[in-house]
Amino acid sequence: MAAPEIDISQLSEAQQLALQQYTSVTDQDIQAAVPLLRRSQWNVEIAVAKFFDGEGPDLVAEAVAAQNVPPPRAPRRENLQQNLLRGQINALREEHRPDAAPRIVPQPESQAIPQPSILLAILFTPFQLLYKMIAAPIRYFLYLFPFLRIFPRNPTTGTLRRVNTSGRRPLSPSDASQRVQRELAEEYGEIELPWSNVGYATSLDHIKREFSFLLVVLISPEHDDTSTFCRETLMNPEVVAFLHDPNNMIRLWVGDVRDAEAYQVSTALKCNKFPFTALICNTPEVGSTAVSVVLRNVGPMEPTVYLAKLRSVHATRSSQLETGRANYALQNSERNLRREQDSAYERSLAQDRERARQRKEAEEAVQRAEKLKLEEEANATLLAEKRQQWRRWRASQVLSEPGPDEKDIVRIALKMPEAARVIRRFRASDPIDELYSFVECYEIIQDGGSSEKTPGKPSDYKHEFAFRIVSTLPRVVYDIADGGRIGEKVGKSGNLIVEPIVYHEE
Amino acid sequence: MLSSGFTGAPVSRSLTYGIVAASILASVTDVKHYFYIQVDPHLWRYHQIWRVLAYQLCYTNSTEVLFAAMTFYNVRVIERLWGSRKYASFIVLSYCLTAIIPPLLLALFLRPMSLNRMNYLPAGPTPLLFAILAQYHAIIPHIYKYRIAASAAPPTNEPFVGLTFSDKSYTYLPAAQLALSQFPGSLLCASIGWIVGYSWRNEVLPSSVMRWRIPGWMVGIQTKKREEDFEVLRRRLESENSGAATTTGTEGPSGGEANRRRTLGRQLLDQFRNPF
Repeated sequence: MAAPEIDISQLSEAQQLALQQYTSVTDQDIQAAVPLLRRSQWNVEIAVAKFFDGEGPDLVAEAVAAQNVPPPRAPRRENLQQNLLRGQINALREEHRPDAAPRIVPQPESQAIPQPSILLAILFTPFQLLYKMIAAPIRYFLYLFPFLRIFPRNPTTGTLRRVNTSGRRPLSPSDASQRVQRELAEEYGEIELPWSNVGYATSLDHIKREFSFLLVVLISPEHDDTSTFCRETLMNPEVVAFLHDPNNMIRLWVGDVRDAEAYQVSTALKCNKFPFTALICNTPEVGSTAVSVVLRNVGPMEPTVYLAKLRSVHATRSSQLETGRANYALQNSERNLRREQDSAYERSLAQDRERARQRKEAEEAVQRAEKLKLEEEANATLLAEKRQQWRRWRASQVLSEPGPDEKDIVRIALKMPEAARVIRRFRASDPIDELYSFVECYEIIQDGGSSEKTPGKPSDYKHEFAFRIVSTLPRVVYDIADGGRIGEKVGKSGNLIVEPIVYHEE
Repeated sequence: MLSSGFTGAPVSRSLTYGIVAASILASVTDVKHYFYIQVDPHLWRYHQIWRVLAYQLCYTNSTEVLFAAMTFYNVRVIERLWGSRKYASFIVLSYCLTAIIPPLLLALFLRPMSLNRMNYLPAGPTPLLFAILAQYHAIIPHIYKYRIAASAAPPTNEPFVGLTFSDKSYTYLPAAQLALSQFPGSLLCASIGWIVGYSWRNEVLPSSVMRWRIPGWMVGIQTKKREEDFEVLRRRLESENSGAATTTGTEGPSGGEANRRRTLGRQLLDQFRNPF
């Protein structure tokens, strides 16, 4: 599940009750129980059944259903008696009720099989061989005697021309409708019709939504009357103008019955004669969402008669559709209003949540800062303690002042930062480090050998001197990092100043 | 298109009822032996050339009658697609061709080649049926396909083994039964029929033959008479005169016409009535 955490407080009362009942029976934890209950639409019994019996196949069925969304169909119930009587009932009813125009979706090509099976291929191999063996000499014969060629040939390639012998290539609905348009243009020249280039089902959906008309024209190119119909009726300027008029709200769908989709449509619209034209629109008297065939123009017809029939039915139906459209617009506006209200509510809810979140974050930040401060303080005291410990340790390690009679002695006058002046002797061979340590531990040394026992060197601590020793005129910095011995650096005697290092951090 | 019954298919209706009636009649009157061809006695010895024209008139076997009637019924969609007149013309033409070619082929080639073994041409319009089936095969699109598989279900990598059928297979199966029922003569008939239908489609036959149509009255089409031509002219005149009035079209031109159409007697009467 996408949402791992489920807030029980967000569930409604009935849902909480269902959850309680469910968990009391199954003892499943809530995180797993809520999705299951949601899947079974909060029906406790179903959920319990699913829990104990498993719900494997149901999920698959749902997924499949979600994938290809079948158009909802009214269940069809009939019995023998009704069937027998139906003919008469229909005959009675036909005057009042127009025929329904069902939605047709042809079998998608992806389900069809591109290649013939191996079994058939094996079966037909001997025949193919036989054909090749016979065809080769015949071709040679025909080459020698060209006047015997009775089969029409393609003039460019010289191969046998194939004329619609094995049906047309199945195409998707929109491609097929484009093909029909192209073929008609090739045959009769460009026809100025409002071509839509979408499938029948899409067109039907459109007119259902728009409360407009769908004019279905089914053409059988091999019918004798087709060319007359196309030339005189479809290309009639008045008919074209009528179809093009945006006030009439007519969508056009032209199908060639050699295509699977148009063939199915012709079956569904009960077309038994060509050329066939059907006007389809919403018919509220049959059902609120029903679309039906309100007019059939069948067979060869004068363009004037054709148009007159179309116009009369169109005029009677237009007003009806107008009311339908208005109703729909009203409903739609109400729905929009509700949706806007919902979205406004959602937005304010989101705002509140955002505000709460920000407050929470601010509190957390304050807490974190406090914690950090405490930690820093603890660290500082620890450091100070360690520093003190180090000083005391180092003080015990500072070499004693050499006697006045010893050789290689450097006399150094140190000016401490506290304005005290200290004069001390050092051995010339002592490292600079010794000088620094002396200054650092001067106070402790000054106190004299304290009675406390000297502590050991503190672990995890590297001492940093908070001063540097310099000589004035000329200014030389005796940095501890440079190392070296006091004798080499300072000379026989020196007058040095202890400069505290001030870090300009802030 | 597939609506049940013979609406819009009068020729198919005649063919279906005709083949059933003729077969029953032939059976009842015990004249079945006139309707098949045995090359050796019938054509070579007795010179009964009329058998060539007659052999397609009925079946001698009730199974074949059943399947032929079913197939004629199934292929009625061709008539709806073509119009009755073209369909009838095609049938007449095919009948002529299939009447001549199979007996000729059998008598002159197949019988000598098979050492007089093949001598029998069964009765029945099998060639005609297959000529129509060739059209059916070419024009009618399949609505769905299905396959009978001998391999595992789809989510496997194995190649598909099995047979693929479409909804059109149901039409072909009874016809296949017809083609094989009296092997080898019926198969010869079927293949010749198929070739005739195929060549009609491929425009192998001369175009004048293909364009030929039987007279319209035979399939119930009234040819335009002179009177109707005048009717059209008058209607056009009327619409021009009334101009914008008819463009609303709610009434339709037929409303006005009914009043105007007068019989000759009425016209004469009016002529005389006017002066008074």
